Amino acid sequence: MLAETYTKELPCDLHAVGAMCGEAREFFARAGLVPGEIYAWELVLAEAANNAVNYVRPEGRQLPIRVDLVATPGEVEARVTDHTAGFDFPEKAELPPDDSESGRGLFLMQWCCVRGGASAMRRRGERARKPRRRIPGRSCARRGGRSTS
Amino acid sequence: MRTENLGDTLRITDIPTLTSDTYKPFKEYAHGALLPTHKVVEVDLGSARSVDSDGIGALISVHKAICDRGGRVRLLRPAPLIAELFKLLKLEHLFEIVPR
Repeated sequence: MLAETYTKELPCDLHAVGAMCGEAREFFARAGLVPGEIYAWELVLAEAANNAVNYVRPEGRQLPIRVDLVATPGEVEARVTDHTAGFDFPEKAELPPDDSESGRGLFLMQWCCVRGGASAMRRRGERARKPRRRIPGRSCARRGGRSTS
Repeated sequence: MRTENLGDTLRITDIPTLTSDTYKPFKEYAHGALLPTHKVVEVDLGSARSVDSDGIGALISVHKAICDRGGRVRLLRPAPLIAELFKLLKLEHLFEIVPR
């Protein structure tokens, strides 16, 4: 089975993030992901793209944010390429105080990835995020060959 | 979005998403509709397709405003996956969640 792919270059604008997430949701559904997986991936992409907009360097504001998704049997890979200064993804993202109105994005991204045995990476210089989700073998059989690992 | 005044309760409905591109209008709308008599804010998430960390931040902002006067925020009919987010983020004690 060939990989299904989705690529989008969006303006550095929060309104464009919502539209991209809607398209990504349809892509994941076409790729055969179940609703819980689709929601988790949508959330990962939303948080990554929100950060890409909110923390863009001034010189990058006019440059597009690129989203690449690849779905093959057993694996989904997402890459968000932004124009921020970059940072190293923490081993374990912490929650802020309960009354904080921000600071939960990385925690959500990490949880959505870890939940499925995936990893979230953010490397300086590459400005990319590449979580992978591997799906349990049982699910794979039910979904016609989606493999595990 | 729409609001209804039900005595001491402000109910906010018709929220398609509560995300980075919609949380600011929601926040302004909710704070603008709050009356001194309100003790409860009900946010109907029955039609909300997605909620992200910015949306949760907006709900916390409303919680803080109503909490200052001894009130609370009640989240109505969130989709199960959205309800799960509040547990994951350990915020279920801030909000009363009324399931579908």
